Amino acid sequence: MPFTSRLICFLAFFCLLYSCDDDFTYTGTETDNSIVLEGRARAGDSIEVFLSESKSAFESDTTLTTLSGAEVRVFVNGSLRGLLIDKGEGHYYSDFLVRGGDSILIAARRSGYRTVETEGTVPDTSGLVSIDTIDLKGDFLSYRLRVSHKNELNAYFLSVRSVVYEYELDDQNQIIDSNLVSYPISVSSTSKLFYSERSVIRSRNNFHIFTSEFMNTQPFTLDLLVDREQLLPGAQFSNSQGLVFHFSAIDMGEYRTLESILVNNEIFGGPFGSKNNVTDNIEGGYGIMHFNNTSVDTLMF
Amino acid sequence: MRRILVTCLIITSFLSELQAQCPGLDQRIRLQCESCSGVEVLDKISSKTNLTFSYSNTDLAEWSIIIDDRSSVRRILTKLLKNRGYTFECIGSDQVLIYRKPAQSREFSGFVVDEASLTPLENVLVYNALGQHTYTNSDGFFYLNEAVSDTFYFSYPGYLEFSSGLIESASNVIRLKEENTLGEIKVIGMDSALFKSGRGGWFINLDRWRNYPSLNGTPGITHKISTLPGMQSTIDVNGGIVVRGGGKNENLTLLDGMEIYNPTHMFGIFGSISDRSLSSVSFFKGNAPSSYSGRVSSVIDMRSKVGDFKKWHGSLDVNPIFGEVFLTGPLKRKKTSVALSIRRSFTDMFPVFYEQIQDQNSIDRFRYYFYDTKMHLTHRSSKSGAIHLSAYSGGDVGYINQRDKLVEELTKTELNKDRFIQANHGAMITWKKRWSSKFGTKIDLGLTNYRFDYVNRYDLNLTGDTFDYDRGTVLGHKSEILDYVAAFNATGQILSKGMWDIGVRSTYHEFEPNASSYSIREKGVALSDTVYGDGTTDALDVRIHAENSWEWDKLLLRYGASLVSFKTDTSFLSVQPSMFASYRISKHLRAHVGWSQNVQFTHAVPNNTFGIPINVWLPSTREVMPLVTQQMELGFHYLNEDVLDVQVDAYRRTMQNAINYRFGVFDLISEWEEAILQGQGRSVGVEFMLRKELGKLSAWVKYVLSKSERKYDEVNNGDWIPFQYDRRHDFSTVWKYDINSKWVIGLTCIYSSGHYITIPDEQYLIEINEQPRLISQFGRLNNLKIPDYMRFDLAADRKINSKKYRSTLSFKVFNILNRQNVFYVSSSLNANGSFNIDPIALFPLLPTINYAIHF
Repeated sequence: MPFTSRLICFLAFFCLLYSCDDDFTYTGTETDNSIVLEGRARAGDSIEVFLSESKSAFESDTTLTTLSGAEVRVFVNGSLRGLLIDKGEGHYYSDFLVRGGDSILIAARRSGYRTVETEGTVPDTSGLVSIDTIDLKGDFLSYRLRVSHKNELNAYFLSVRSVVYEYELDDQNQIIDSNLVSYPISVSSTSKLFYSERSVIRSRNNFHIFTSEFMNTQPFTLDLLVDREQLLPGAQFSNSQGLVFHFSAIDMGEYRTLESILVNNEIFGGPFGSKNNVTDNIEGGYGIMHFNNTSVDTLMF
Repeated sequence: MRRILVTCLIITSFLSELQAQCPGLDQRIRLQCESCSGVEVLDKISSKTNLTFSYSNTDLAEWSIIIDDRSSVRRILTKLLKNRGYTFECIGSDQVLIYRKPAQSREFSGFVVDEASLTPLENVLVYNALGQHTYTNSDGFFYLNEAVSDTFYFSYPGYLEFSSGLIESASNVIRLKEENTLGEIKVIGMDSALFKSGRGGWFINLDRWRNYPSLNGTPGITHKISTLPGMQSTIDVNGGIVVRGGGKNENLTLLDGMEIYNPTHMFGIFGSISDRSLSSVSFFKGNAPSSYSGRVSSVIDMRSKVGDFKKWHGSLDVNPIFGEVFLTGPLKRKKTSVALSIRRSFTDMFPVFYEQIQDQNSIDRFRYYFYDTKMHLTHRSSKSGAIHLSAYSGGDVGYINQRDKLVEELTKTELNKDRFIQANHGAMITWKKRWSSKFGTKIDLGLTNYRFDYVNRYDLNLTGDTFDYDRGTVLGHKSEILDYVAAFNATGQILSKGMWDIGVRSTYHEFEPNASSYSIREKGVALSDTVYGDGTTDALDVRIHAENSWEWDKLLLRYGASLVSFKTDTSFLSVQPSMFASYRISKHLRAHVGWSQNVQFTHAVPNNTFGIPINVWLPSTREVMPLVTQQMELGFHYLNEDVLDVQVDAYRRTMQNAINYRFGVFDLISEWEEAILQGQGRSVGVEFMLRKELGKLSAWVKYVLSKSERKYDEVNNGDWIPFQYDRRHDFSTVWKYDINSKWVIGLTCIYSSGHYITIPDEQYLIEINEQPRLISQFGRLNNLKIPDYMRFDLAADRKINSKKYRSTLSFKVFNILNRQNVFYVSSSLNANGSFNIDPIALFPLLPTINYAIHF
């Protein structure tokens, strides 16, 4: 047999002998942990920031590791306003209040980590003008919100909570402790706002975000429906005493972060799917910073 | 790069040594002869040296020569032949050809067709004893400007060799007769299924290639060419082709001039176009002729079979996976013919295919099928003109339905439906006319459409005595392109010597790049109905090209350029030059060098994370710059009479504006222009191929050592990172052995380094509206290397011939090692929310059988 064919035979059978099956297990690679910043700058309130640490995606321990001892500086309208006070367990707060229209930059620095920054504007007003009860009959409770907005694109956050009277009984069924607490509930709407393009996403955790992109009227109205099933006997919030409406005008950076998180949570991949990455409003790390102007209105039954 | 060049030079030197040209000619001898004939003189020289002489004319026997000389053989021959109108040339290491000097050169042109069906034959070798040669084009046309011998030979695999004198006529038709048996072929390099064509690309003879082993009869073009140097498959089996470090969507796949955006079925297992309906495939690795501009990596140009002009016949292929019918015949004898093919999979018809998948995954209903139909109609409008109508429709359809019902206090009903469609459609009408031996034209008009549509629907219903609740979610992705094409092409001796190819091609694209919809309905009320990225983007793509190829002595040169205007929301104008030169160092050894700059204005963003890759096409706009590449290649090709074929090619490619999703993952929210990254790319490699034909055994071995990287400023700290399909080592070998006239066996072995995908790097916990959320965050691109790929396939064909029919029974064993090669990677969450990756292997050892009958 000529040399060439012998060579070909050798190569082929060498491959056959070499063949083997590999187990495919992967536990991730070493990553530099980053600072996770979660905070709130609400008009009329102090700034609150919570710092923790990210972990490897394959880390089985998912408990939170908080970061205290960081230097958190706040710039308001381009000037250094001061440092946040370290309250411990990763919690920081300001000793000054934020006003609507303030442009805020927060920079958190801690040794061993990259510095994280977040920047946004606290809206001038929440935009909420009024909330009226329209109808309490049928399967749904109906409410109408009136919202004023500027000509530019505004983003909003809406959360509706059920006010529940909770109490603790003793052996004789006597109330020994009681208080009012609230739980988020889901709402829906027949408004075009809720299903127009790029306007709103509803999460499974009962809040809405939307923009004024398609609102032509000034002020615009938003009709809400609350499913009474949630409040009837047998349902989780059967002893509901009323509803609390949290309506906020939010910074666009926050809106995009929330949108990204919601889609990331809703889409699970599958053969044709692919997880959507979270793009947040934190530079150098992860998390979310809320810049909002909030109105809270409670309607009792 | 320097190392690669040095290696190539060493190999060249070695091969050149092998090819020292007739050293016997320089040997000094003493020759004495009185009144000898020319034949006697040559016999005397042969007896004193190791030289042998070939001559066809009988004049030599009639010469009367007196010679008494002591000199080199070369000098003696020169003196002997000079005044008699003859000359000589060394044609081997010790073989000398004596022939009459041509009086003057002449043109020689014509068409080569199959005698039985009158269909044109492409890439027929037309050659003479002096080594002058050319190949026929897709219309069977050939042209030699300065033919210098009386007799030319026409050679084509599977056909009897034909010889012809010079005839000066454009409508000169050479009819080749098909051989019934595969006898020994005499022409160098023509006895195989593939060979390098004169323009620097490759040519596949599909009738020949069918004898090589493959999965289920006719698996497709991309499957075949992935075993060649520089061509690599993307995922298990063959999700697509990547060429020299480029992306899988940087390859231009054409069917009779129509662009096929997705050239595969079943995610790459089968080609989307049936081999039976194709006559040939040409492909180029980056340095393609200017007429093919539009993609930067490669061109795969498929040509349909022209229908038989004389009689009706066809074939039927049946195997457990699909059935295929091919029919061809005249609509009007010798004037109009048609070739039709229809293929459909049985995978949704027989429970054996879907029951196991349903059982394993607890699915109520799983169905998948693919189909394709193709028609090619040819009408001869004149002796040298024809109108072709080519139409194609093919696609993949799959759906999964899952219904769960749980009856407790409440009756819970869940219905989960997935449905996807991926389809190509197109039609092209072409008028070809050869006005003279020096000039021909072609006009194309057509349209093509590509669509990917995926919908997931989930419905939940809870009912009880006093409770009624329903909720539905719909998630969909859609990507679509519609192209309108008009083109004009002229070839021939238009401006100067050599063959010119000049043309203009205009394409109007309508892109719907990535519409994603997401809606929720609860108790009949729409909670959300959101569409992302809905809307079309139009683009006008106009290309003007000019290219010239000419052969001068030992040098073959092809150079040209295309001027491209691409208009979307902004206008781009680019010049894309290309050059290819091939020099014959010796009779068996050629060296070639090529350089080209290509610009690609349509992008398919690679989705290189979990799941099966899908195609999302988008055009260049203000925010998305066109991909620009430059490629340089240097190679050597040695091919001798014994069909020992050695090829070595080295290449280097650089890329600007290489595209990728930011973080490598599909982005549902952002506008697609914001969702992508553009950066730099580079790839370098050496490709080796050794092919040998030993009587009944044919085999080739390919090995590619390469490296391909990308660099994006925004990710991975701006470092160079491996490209998704950076396969450092890529090896494959294909064998075929003809045991006898009835049995053929074959083996294919493929090994390559694993590719890369992007998986999350980090996770973190945050709280939104008092609800904790664990977020998995992608960061670095291509951070996980998939295990190496390896697969061996065995095949045996039994030919069964009767008086009326020819048929073939094929037995194939796919993946004989039963290796679990990763097809795609899925993800899941542990109970505590942490991340898991789940590799999915789809193809274990698969024995199959195929029956093909020709009637």
